[in-house]
Amino acid sequence: MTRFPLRPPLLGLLAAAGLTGLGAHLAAAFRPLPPSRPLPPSVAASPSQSGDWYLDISRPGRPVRIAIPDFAVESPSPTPNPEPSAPAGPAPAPSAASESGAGAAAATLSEVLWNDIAYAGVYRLLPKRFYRIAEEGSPAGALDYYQWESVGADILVRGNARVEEGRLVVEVRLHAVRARESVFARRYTAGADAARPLAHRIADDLLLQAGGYRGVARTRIAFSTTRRQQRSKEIYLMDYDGFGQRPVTANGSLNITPTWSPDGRAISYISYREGAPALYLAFLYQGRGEKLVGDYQSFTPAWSPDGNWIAFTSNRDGQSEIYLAAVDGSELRRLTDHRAIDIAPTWSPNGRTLAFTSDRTGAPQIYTMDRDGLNLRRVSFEGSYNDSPAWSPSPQQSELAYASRIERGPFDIVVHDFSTRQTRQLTTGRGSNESPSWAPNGLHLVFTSNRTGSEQIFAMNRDGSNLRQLTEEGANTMPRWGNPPAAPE
Amino acid sequence: MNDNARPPLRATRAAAGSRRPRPNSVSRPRVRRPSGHFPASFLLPLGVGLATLAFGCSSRRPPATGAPPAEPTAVDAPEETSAPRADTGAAARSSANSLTEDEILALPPEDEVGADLLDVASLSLEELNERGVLADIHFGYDSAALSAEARATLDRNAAWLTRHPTVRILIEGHCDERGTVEYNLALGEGRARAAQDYLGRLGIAADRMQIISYGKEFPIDPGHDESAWRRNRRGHLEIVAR
Repeated sequence: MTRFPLRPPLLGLLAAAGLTGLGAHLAAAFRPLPPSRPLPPSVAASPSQSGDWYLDISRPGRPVRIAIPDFAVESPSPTPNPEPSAPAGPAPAPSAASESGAGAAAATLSEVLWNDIAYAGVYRLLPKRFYRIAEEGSPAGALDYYQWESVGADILVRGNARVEEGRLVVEVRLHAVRARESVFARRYTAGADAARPLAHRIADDLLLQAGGYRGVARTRIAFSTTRRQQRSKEIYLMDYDGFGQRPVTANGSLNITPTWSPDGRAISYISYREGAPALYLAFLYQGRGEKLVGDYQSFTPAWSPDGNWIAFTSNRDGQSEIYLAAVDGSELRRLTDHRAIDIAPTWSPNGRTLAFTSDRTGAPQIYTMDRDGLNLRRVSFEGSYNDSPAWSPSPQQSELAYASRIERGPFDIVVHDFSTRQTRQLTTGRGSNESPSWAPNGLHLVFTSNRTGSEQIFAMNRDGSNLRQLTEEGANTMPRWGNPPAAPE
Repeated sequence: MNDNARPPLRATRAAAGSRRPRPNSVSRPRVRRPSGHFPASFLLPLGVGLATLAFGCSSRRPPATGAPPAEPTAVDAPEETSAPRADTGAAARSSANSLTEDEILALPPEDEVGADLLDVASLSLEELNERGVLADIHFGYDSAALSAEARATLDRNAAWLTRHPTVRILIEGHCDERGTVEYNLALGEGRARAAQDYLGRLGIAADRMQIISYGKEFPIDPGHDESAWRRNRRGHLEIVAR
């Protein structure tokens, strides 16, 4: 199994600056290459929502096996080299440098793509030791589908990388082995140091094309960390695999409970920077932030799926109640009215219902209500203390994760399925596990656990498998999994 | 509450050096003064000095080290009652070692006298807060209810606030690490509000008090046991204007 290597917080850059640069790299155009042959009608292909075609090769009875040989390194395309009479010296260096740059990029691409595909869990990765047999059986440089079929590959992904004029150029082809077809091919270009985000992009494209699976390789996780300064908590970001941990806030105060805008381009959070905890917005790619709701204590913001509203908790009327405000701070309205504590709203994927925590029965339990505050229902009946509800963004699932104190003491992550009214437990007996948050595709969760002795962020699949630790430095809490950033308007 | 009845005992206890560190000074991120806490023994001679000399409180240097302050006999206590009070103080001293943590936590603030004798207006807010003139209150697990001890502490805090009518305070509600982030933010708010309501009923004007909840985000004790949790379930009164 692949392990996710951990890296210290990457850049000292502010997120805005860093991400803008990255965006510029990736904004570079990719364009589809024509498949080597038109799709034969015999291959079960169906249009995805984007109008692309993807391939459904799943066969009942055994998992689909995918082979991803390391990407090949290509010399820069036939640029006429310096005249043969050029004096010996630094002249050949650029070529060598770009080749080694391409080599490093190809290695990163291969490794990251492998990890991304493995993490998705859609396909079984065919071990690399089988590849030599297939490659040696094929004519030099050519592709012999029979050889790949004979080692058990259903899908073959081949790619190559080169550096042209300082840019990384990567071509990727997806082959359906038994159909003997190249069903997807694309050429990508990116900045020379953007191999990792480029690999994430390729992984998401492949997963979508070869199965209609919505990958998470380009998603990011916001969280609150103590690592920057004693007795402060700052909002940080990281890639879904724990790489690229970088700050969003740097004000030395207490910054907690981040929540993402649906377009992945803004984070709302609570900051004590001016004293009382107030609701702030950070626009990641515009390098600006603003205070949304102040004057009273505000807590636990949650962005509506349509991006227009933020639900949050405030004491402005003398007790903890759930409120709704438009994203520009206008149209403030109250949804709950009870002298008990009401806190921690989360939206259903269709935006019509909210779940929240209330201790109106004497202990914190999970409830739902319509977005106008009506139609109150209690959801959690097991556990003496339930909080931190997180509604799965997947419209197909109708699931709500929360932290539940089942026995006395620590919490565990449980998931309530509204369709079956069953609740399943995802963590068991290792530390206290709190603050669950779903991946945008509803197939994975992140959460906080103190099982290693300090509070750290972990990820797991929605059945509790595939556990990974994403953070190590300082104490890290309140993870929120966000969508990949949408292209700017 | 009659303040005159209390000084000798308190002064004696302070002089005996039985003072525990005040937790208040780390309730929020801030730059600590390099000198740390004032030595308790400093307060007594200062108080004595104020009564007789023009010994300005602005001369805030430590006293001659180790000089045990004289018993507070002649200056601020009538002759005939000084001896019994001293005995009471000695008894309190000798029994201090056998106190349970709950009893220790329920002890009244030691240095109220010294702060009262000082000119509040001449001290910085930070100095005032470091002296802990307003004592913390503590709560039961998952509760914002005021215990008898908490109410007694708030009674004393209210008396001090009544004597210093220009002082404004921020009431911080804190929780222990058990329980979730979200619920603790609300619980901390409930604790701060309970203290605010009680002080309001004692006549402290509403516009002198603000509340804030830190949930479980700023524990005063980083430990993970019962004694740490007990210390972290607190309401802290921070002086923000005088």
